[in-house]
Amino acid sequence: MIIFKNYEKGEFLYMTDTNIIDIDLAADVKDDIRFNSDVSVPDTNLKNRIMGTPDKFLMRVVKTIGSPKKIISADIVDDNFLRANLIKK
Amino acid sequence: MQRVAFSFRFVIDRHFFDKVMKSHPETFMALMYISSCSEEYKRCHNLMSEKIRKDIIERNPEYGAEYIKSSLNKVNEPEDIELISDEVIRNIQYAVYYTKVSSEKVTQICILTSDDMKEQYLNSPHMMGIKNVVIKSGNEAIDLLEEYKHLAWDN
Repeated sequence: MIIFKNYEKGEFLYMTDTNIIDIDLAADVKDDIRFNSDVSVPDTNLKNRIMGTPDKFLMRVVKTIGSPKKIISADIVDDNFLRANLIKK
Repeated sequence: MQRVAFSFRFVIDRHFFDKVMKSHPETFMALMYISSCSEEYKRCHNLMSEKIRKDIIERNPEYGAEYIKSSLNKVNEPEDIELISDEVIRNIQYAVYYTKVSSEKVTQICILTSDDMKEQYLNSPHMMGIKNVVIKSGNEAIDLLEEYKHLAWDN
């Protein structure tokens, strides 16, 4: 597992051997899908679920490495999700 | 969009992680939300020394690193500050540095720490005459984080 530096200001992406894990506002995830040609969501159901998430929710998004980056999972991060996932099982 | 110009930017020490965040998981949520919603400092609102954050991730492998990295934002420290061995002095210098780093206005910095460390910060001669850095610890710090989270959520 290696750290992946990306953002102009700060960074908090995490990269496994095959995936990037990111946590961001749903509004920003949706903008990424709409306007960034290097990001795609092959699963239509997943895409619909993301696009239907209210802007102000936080999402944990897993993308593949490479170009284009494919979003392969997305979860809403709320108190219950964090309680269940903050500590690895 | 949930963009908020928060009154304080944060500098967070290892004691806040060890003695407050670990026993109050809701602080991870609040810090992640604040970092994502910060109008001026998106993804770099909650500052922590890179070497301290790296050490925290290594010492706490049971925590999902993405949650630590989303809550505690790493930015590069000026080299002269990074060389200071005393962590309290280093964090104060770090906070003072970041009050001035904004191009157009003075930024108010709040150092988040644990209750047992607060006096060390307040009694440090390096805090004398410093007007734009405040120290908050324990429940007082948790309350501020919750207030900021709700400010962004209700915006």
